Amino acid sequence: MPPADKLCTIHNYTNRRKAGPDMSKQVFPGDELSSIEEYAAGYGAYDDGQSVRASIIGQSVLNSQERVIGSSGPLVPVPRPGDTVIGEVAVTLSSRLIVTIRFVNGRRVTNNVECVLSTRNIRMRIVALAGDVMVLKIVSILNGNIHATVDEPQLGVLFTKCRRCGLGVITHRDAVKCAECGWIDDRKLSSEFGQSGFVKAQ
Amino acid sequence: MGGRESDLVLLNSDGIRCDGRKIDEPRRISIKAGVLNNANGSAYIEFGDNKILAGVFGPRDVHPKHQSDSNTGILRVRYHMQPYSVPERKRPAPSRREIEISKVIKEALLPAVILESFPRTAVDVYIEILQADGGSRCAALDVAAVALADAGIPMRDMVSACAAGKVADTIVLDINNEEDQAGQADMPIAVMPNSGQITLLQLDGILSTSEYKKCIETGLVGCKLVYELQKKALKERYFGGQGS
Repeated sequence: MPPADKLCTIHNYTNRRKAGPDMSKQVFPGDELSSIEEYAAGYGAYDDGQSVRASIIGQSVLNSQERVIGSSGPLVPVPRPGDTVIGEVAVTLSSRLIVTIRFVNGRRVTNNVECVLSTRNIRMRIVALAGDVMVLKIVSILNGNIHATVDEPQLGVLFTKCRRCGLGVITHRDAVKCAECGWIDDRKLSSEFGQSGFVKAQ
Repeated sequence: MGGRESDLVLLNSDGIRCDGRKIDEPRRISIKAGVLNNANGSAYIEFGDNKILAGVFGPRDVHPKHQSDSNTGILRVRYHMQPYSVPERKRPAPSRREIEISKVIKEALLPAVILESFPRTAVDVYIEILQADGGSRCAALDVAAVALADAGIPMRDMVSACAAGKVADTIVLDINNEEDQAGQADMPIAVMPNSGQITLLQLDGILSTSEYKKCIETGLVGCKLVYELQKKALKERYFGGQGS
């Protein structure tokens, strides 16, 4: 049998856990969501060393499985790891591409933020050309750069043109072939190449 | 001591100020969030006769690129008075005063805004003074904070600002243009209401130690009132004014 004071502590702790943070409460920047002992700060929250506080306006979101609390509010037009983005290749370098992001999870953004795609481990002569439209997945934000990958079948080039004559291309096994001049070229094509509603809309 | 000679009675024997307010009464304040379609976040404030519009863009790419920081985002603020905002036409080019107030507002907002999540980007805050009537820097700061929250920029806290001052040897809340011109002291204060940290404190005039303390206390009371109105404006924008 634990001593009485110990029991009291456990009792208080249980009560506090039962009370917990309110579910779906309206929160404003700076509002306290919970103490740092109870929950970790998730999206839309930060911890100030004592409490977890909301950083954006919205409804508080509680994940009791992972003990994370955050806020669901307006989204800023900057992608986070795990987001799927569509962008336009701005620069091609020897081992990486710089892609200007135009859509984040299907949402149009106009802030011209760029991400980096490393092509070092892609066994292909040309992954994409400047001006191509690509669908990418964000993997990390390191050293101030947004890093993306095309290491999934649905990721890659959505729209491209012939490098030789600048006209439309069709798929030719894993490559593309110019419909006019017959030039065959490498691209890391998305499984949705030529079928994307996005490209048709453009 | 201080202030300009004026025939205007700033404070009568009943403790009523030149615009009919009591010494601890702020001007009429109304804030509306989300007034512009093309900005990421926006807000409009009427603070007495001040009419101010703020628009926030970003986080977005930085031009010129050399201003970008690989460790954090940057905050840029432009406080601009329209030519018709004052009785005599103001030249539209940024004046020394506007440049200074832009810097002051930026430094007052910086402790509240979490920019570390957005390296190499900029958050731009454009503040347009449509009509000025004293205390426009505090009103501009209030509306900028609402516009930032409306844009979804992560913030440690809101920033609420209000001025206090000394008029006819009395500490008063929220001084207007006449009191600013003819009064003895003007103290704009901005605070992060939840943490209680002061992010802006200026003083134009001379106060004794006790007056100084009272002036800060009075200003903080005004900031608290403004904070409630900021929350109300955001609540109307995001929850249709419904309670939690």
